Amino acid sequence: MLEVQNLSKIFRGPEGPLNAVDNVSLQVKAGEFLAVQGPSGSGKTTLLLSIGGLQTPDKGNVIVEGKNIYRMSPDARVQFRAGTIGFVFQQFYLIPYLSVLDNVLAPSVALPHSEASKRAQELIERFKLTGRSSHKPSELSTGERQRTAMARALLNNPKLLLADEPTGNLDKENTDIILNFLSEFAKSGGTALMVTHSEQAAAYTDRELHLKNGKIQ
Amino acid sequence: MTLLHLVRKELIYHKLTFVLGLLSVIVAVGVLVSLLVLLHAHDIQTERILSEKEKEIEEQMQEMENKYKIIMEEYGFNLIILPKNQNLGDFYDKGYASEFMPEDYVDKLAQSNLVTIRYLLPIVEQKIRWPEELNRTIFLFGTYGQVPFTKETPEEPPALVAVPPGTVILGYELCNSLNLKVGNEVKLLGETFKVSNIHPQRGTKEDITVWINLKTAQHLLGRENQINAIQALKTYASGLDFKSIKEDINQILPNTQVVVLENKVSTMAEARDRAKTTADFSLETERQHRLKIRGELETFASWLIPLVIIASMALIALLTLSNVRQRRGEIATLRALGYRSGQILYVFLVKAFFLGLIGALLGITVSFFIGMLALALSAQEIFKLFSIPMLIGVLAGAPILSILASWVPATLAAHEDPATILREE
Repeated sequence: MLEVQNLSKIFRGPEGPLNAVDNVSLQVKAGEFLAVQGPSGSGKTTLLLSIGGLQTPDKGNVIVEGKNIYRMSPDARVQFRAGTIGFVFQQFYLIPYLSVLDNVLAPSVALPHSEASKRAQELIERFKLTGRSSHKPSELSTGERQRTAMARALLNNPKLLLADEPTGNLDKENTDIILNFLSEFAKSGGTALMVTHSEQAAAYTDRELHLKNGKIQ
Repeated sequence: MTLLHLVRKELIYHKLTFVLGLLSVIVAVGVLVSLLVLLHAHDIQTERILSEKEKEIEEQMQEMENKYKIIMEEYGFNLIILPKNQNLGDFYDKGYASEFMPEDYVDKLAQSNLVTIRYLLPIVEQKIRWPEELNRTIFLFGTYGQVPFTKETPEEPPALVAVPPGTVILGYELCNSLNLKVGNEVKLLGETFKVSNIHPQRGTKEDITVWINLKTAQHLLGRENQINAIQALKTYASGLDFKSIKEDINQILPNTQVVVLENKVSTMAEARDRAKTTADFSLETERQHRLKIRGELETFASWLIPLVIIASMALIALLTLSNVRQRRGEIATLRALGYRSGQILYVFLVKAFFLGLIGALLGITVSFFIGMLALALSAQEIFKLFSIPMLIGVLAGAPILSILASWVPATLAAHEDPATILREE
């Protein structure tokens, strides 16, 4: 489902070039939940963003669902991302002025579909946010925010779910909810890739990869 | 969920930023519309003032024209027709014409179709010595009174009465120095005349003038059927058009020349013309004064309006830039969710559009009330000063300028690299 071939990303700064991702290759099958572990600055987030089509690599290919996303035009890549890839971030990145329902519905602006409202309601119920659907993110608990972010990532039925430290700010109960869901998502045929430095979180995955200085160990 | 919904929610959430932007548009539109309305009001006031003044002048001129017509009717112009070979310098020097012309010139003129002359007075006049009265100098003036020029009987008596044969009219000085009275007999050049009238003192040569019958005078002076002047009295001339009268007379009597005598009518006409010139000058001065004020207003507006618009646009640009910086995380999230850069641009530009539109509507409303207070006019009167093209221009222009001001920050937002933001945050 996901294939990364010889992916490299170099950042050029005043202190010289930095190999954030160095010739990384990996494959994740549909139905698999993969954890990418590594210390801070090991290149985990850069790898995740590159896989998600947000960070153009200097070298290598990212093939999702058989399509090399960096050979697409920028507009086609954006469209592809909207329909195929879901993101969950440690900081949640909910839109502060929108309600839970509107936040969940936000991806439908990028990829409008008639079932969006129905799907959003289902996800809100599924993530136990029913009574909070009209609340703003500032009125939610941390766990509710991450569940809202998770519901948002799933609105367009993505095939690939990319999660960047999704449980970094959560208590144990909410961590379990999120990790269980990611696991269920994979078991139902999706592909989940989680960047984390938590061994506990990695234990929920099918496979772990370790990244150090941009390289898979 | 639509982009407009997103924009609306964001406007409400960041209302302070929006209100600040709105205030800058309100000020800019308020200044622009107020100045345009002020200029329009000034133009209308100028038109009214000048129109009132023109009407006033017209009325004054009409009144003067009426008076002039009355005086013209009463007095007319007096002309004197002299032989063509008469030297005018000599005429003015001596006070009478020394050259002669046929007496039938009067009949020719009287029988012509010239309707502008009402009375004709043929005269023969010479300065002579009065042998019977110590050879003293007198002016002998022979006339038989005025000849009505038209066939109609004159409505009023001639200015000079006819002098029947055998009678004489004397000037005041002659009468006084010779101690003569009406009814006395006097001898002149061997002929005896009865004094029929004595003129009051006039302080002119007429005080030493002797008026006798024209035929008698011609005989005494040896100038049978000759005259040396014709006075045309109560002549009408529209707008002092002496030239055409002279041309008309010269066509009938080619061997003559015409001199206009100063009188009350010409004085009145000149006074009227002077008054018209003064009134025109006053009107022009007022027009120039109003133009000068308008020019100053225009200059003031031409500086203030661009200044306020630029300041407003700069503030909108800064507020949009600040909004973009504030929403970097949101922009990156939206991009990660699959929003195209065009959609991000749209979010900021639609906001700018509403900022301009709402600001323009409020600015127009504010300037409406400012106009009412500043010009002390009713709502209805102020409303008339707001032209539809101006309102359309402002309602279209403000959103466009607001969009232009937001364009650079909005473009920056649209081209933000989401990966950089997500990595940084």
